[in-house]
Amino acid sequence: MESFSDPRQDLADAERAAAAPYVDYPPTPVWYPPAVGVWAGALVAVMGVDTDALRYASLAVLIGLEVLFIAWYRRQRGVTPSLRRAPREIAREMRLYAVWAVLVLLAVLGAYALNLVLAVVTATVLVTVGLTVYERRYARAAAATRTRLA
Amino acid sequence: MSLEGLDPVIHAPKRLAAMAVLANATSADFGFLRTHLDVSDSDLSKQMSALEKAGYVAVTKSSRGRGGVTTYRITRAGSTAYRRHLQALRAIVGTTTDALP
Repeated sequence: MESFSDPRQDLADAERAAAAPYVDYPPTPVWYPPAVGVWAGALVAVMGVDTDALRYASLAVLIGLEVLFIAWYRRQRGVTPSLRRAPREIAREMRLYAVWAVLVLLAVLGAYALNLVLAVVTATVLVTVGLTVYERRYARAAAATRTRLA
Repeated sequence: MSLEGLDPVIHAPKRLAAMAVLANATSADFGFLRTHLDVSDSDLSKQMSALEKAGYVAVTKSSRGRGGVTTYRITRAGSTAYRRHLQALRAIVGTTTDALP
């Protein structure tokens, strides 16, 4: 080591870089929340298919679509953030989203007990709305993180 | 100022930034690191080669579409070295928090 920078500056730079996987990302496409909502609705609908072969084939198609989407998104974003060490502003949004996901699951299960169509609509609407809100809140949290670390 | 614990491979600012990104990501590709570090292709290649040579990052190259995608991930040794380096920096500045970026 021939020269040394300011260790405080090094730590600040490291903290900014550590936040980058969470806050440096391309704008989320507007079609993303409704597409995932429709996907969730389709997943619930598949559960109502009586024929085993058709149900499994449909599940395979839906899972395949999800895998393709994840691969595309990872390539678009260029980085896959760890879920364990998010900046505090974003970690809070992730926790809220997890709570929302559990509530959606319970609502869908409740609706499924009453009527399949109701469950499909519930899943589609709640997932779409939830993701739309989450994406907006995440963007605000990312902006707050960038400001804090600037 | 005690320099004990500082890792000479990680201490270079660009390599420290690359390690900080990779310590907080499952993986990151060449383009993301180049943009975030604001460096040229050749400079990033040089920095990442140094980290790879030290065993701190693993590289995966795939050919898809118009060109190959080079993806990096931090190794266990890299993760340990990065945390030790941060702890050493904190010791120097007298910070006691365990929270690591």
